[in-house]
Amino acid sequence: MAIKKKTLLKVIILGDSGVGKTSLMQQFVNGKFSHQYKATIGADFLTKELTIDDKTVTMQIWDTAGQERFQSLGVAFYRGADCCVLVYDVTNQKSFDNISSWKDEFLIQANVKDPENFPFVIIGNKVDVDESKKIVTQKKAQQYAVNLGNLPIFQTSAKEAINIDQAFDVIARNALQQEENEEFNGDFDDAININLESENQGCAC
Amino acid sequence: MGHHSLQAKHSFSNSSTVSLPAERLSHLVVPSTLTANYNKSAVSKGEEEEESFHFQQNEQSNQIYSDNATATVAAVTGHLTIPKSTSRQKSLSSSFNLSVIDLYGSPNSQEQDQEQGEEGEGLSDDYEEEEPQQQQDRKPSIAQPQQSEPQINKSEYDRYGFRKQTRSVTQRQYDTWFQNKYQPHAIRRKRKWIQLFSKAGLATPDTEGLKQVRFPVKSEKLKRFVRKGIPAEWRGEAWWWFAKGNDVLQEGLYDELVVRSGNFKGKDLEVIERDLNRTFPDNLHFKSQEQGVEPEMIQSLRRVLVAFALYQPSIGYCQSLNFIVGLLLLFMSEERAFWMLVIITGRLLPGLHEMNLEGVNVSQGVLMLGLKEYVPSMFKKIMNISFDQESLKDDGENGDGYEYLRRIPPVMLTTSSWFMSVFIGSLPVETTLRVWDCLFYEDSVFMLKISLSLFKLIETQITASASSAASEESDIDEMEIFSLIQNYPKTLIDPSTLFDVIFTSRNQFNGLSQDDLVRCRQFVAEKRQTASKKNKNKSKSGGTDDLKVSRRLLANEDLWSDELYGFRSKSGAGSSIVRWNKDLSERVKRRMKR
Repeated sequence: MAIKKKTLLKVIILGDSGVGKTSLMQQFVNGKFSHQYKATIGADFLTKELTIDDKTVTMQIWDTAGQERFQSLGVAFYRGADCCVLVYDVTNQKSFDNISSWKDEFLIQANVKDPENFPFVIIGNKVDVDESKKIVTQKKAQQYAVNLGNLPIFQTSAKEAINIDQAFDVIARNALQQEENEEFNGDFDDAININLESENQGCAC
Repeated sequence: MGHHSLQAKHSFSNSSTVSLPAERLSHLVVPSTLTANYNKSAVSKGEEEEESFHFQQNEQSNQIYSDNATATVAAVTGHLTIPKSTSRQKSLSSSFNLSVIDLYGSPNSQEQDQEQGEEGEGLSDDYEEEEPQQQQDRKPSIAQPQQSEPQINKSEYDRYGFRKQTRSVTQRQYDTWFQNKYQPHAIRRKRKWIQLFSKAGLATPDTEGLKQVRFPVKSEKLKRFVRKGIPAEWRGEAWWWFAKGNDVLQEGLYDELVVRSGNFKGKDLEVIERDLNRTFPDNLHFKSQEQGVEPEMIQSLRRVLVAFALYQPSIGYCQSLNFIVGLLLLFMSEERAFWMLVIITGRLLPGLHEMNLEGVNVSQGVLMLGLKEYVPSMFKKIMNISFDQESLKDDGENGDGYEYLRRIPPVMLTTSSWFMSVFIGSLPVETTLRVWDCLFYEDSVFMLKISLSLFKLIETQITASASSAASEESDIDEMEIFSLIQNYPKTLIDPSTLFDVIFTSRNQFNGLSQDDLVRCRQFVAEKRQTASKKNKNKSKSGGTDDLKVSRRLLANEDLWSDELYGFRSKSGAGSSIVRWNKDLSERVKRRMKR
């Protein structure tokens, strides 16, 4: 049985259909890649236990459907997210252009208290492809991430497992910080994570 | 672009200017005595090819079947043929055996296995008459290695061409179950079905030369038969019959739409294109057997989805339709698959695939009410993990205790795919097909019944898990519930695990009728509508579109006046009946009339 009141980090992965959201999640959680992923309907989630600076946390990753109309189902589960990952496909300009819409959509639906400081992480996926197929250059993307509020950005390949752990490490740290901030601000959601102020996981009651 | 040999060339030889695909029904069946031959022709450029295709129109098979009452197990496992479907293809009357896998298991399966490794050569040779140019382009590649699967080992695939092994089920589990349990079941049921047809004085759907397929009239007995499974090779005909396909079919329209598709431009096209190869990557029929050659199934899938987007612009293309069409195409022609999609998205799952997916929210609201009534412990758990104090405050504003209908709990995101994809991907294949059998026979209320049955099973799992932890149920946390709802159904390889729940009469929800469901949908739609009116200016996505769909769902006035939110218990005790606020409904009605 899991230890109660452990820190739960909720991470939402958004981005256009086919950019590789499922693959990223699978690669990070299970260390696998497959050509056989099906289109995601609604949402799937996986969890992974992580240790961040001696602190054990459980990351709950939500993989979503990319088609626009599925956003209307997102209202409920965006809430309480600690970090939002925005994914585009380096071979698909449109998926890159849509990054800011995904960000806005998230902020509206998640009802984030402090939108300015909410942690987003941008991921440009499929960097394993042939150079000639890459449409969104790293330079362009980095500039864009700066303009969007100096957001962290990673170039990854879920297929070749490039940069996945690095990206998710930043995601986890950002999520943890967000979680702690919310705690500090007296968030109503007290079902989880009651003793973040103490370093170890002992009971604070 | 190209073809492979899942379709026989005969079907194509007279194809018209519109390149429509061949008859599809027949590709499921392989006479056991022919399996080896067939398989060779399907996967290799062997000399037996001609011979095996000829052989498949064998007369013997039909004799065995017309003399059905005494059919032996051997006959059942052996020569099954499949009827034609659309009139367009009537002339191509022969039934080809196009599956790589035999339906009822074959004594030759050992031989099949030995034959692996011969694929990779000239998969599309069957089409030389139709597309000589492409044929020239193709070089016979000798066991060309493919990226992930250099060889196709047929024993790894089930009788529909799906990979037996999934993330939740091992191949060994599958084989053990299928050989020891399900195959005998299927053979037994097939025999019973033949007797049923015989008693009803009807020719079975696979009778040679049959002009009009007919199923026995609906009865409790037939319903029970359907619940125990329709013979796989009759499914296409049965679904079409029970869903009343002929009532919606407009002859020629599909072909017309396919022609018009050529000019279709739109956002949907791109999404469709991206999903084609993400539909059934684990199914042989959807898999490219040769580099650069697009499987016939993928082409069919594209045509149906694009034609549907043209035909039904209020839906266009919605992800999950690809799965529905993909499964239909394994059992019927393109044209029928198209019209079945019209029926499924329109009548059976109204609003579920519309632009704003309001029908999904309504269906999930209905499921929540169903849980509240019939699986209350699960309802409580979901409420506990879904709503914090903040939400309860919101509820206070509306003050009716139905906040969970307006703001569907996150966990229902998982169950929403049960409905949108009609359980494809959520349940194992054979179990999914059994649900489909009943859906067309019993109408959409069956979706609710099966969902509640799943929750009954999940409830048992949770109880087991909680007691093993020797602690209170509150220890089952959010993630465990999420993960059970998401993953447990995928392990239900044996349909009877699930159908036993449905068959258990003490589960009150088995008495639910289609009318109950319709009423409940209306209730939820109304509840949601009051919310969306309120929020109209608040949220950009909760606006008028939601309202429109809700209103459509409310359209049926006489049902609307019923004061139950659905769910009348058949026992008549009325104890479980929950009444909703009649005043409120009156108010809304008045407002809507204005």
